[in-house]
Amino acid sequence: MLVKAMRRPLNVNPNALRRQGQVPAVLYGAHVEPVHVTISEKDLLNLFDHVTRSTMVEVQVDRGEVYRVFVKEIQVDPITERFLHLDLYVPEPGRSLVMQVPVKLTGTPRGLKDGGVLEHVHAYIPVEAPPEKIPPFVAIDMSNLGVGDSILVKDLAWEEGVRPLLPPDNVVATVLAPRAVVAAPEAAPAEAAPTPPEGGEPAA
Amino acid sequence: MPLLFPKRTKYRKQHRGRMKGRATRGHEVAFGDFGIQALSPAWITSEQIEAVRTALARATHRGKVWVRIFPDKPYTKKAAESRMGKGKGNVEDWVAVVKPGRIMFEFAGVSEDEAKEIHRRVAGKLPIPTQLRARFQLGGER
Repeated sequence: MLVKAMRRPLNVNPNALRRQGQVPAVLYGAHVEPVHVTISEKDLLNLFDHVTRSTMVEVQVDRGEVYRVFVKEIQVDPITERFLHLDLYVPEPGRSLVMQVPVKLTGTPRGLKDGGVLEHVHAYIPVEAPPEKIPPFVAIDMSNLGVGDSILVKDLAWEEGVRPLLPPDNVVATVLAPRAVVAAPEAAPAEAAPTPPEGGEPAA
Repeated sequence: MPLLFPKRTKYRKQHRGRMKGRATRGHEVAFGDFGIQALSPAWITSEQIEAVRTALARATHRGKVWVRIFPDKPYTKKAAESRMGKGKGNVEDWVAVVKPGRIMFEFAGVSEDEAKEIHRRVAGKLPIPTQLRARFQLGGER
């Protein structure tokens, strides 16, 4: 995905840019000088409809240089949900970094029909990998999961060079049994045994 | 007797304070799939919190509910027909101070349509306008 950005002078009030439909952002990384830019809010909405936080995005500044970046932080107005500011991180090629990879659950678990409740324990999994190998997301097919079944971190397939930072036995998603199980009513006993009196054995 | 209040406090009574500005913390849906967000400042009493919690627990059936505010502020009231003066009144109840933007409750395990209906039911139990917020997710993560 390619997004166009324009350099912005730092003496311009960011709120004035926001009123014009522009979102202030900064590009930075260990090996690049920080670049202050603005990106059109429309372009951002379109971009964010298709990417995840671990998708590498291309940002073209002033129709010139193209940076390959990760969206590191998105500041959103808490009430209006409009974008306030973006941090775009330019990773150093070949140098491993830690990134939160989103987990996408696909399919309806078999256990839901039996009254189970799907619990998505980890929505993101932290992984360490070179930037070019970081996957945009991890897809898990849940259709074969019955009640009590779980998907663990070690069950996920990772590309070579990608190391998940969670313990292998951690549960990513599970189908829990329903909280209250209603016992099926038993048939009325034909010859019910006499119940012993309460209070233990009678004193001799 | 209030339903929710701190186990112990350093001082018994507090000043009323001001509720200026917006919530700078606790304004994102962090635990569940949906959150109920305050749109104006208010004191939310422990009874109101408990009423909403109960309604959410019933409405979500088997889902999960998180209460993200706690009434840690005592408010006082002078007894009826008492003359002014003679010191500050007795502690009447406990409230949580809520500013616009604050996510007060979160819940999970329901669809979006169900969440809208749950919000409609719960909104009537709160003294302020609220809005339903979904967890912030990028399009590729949904």
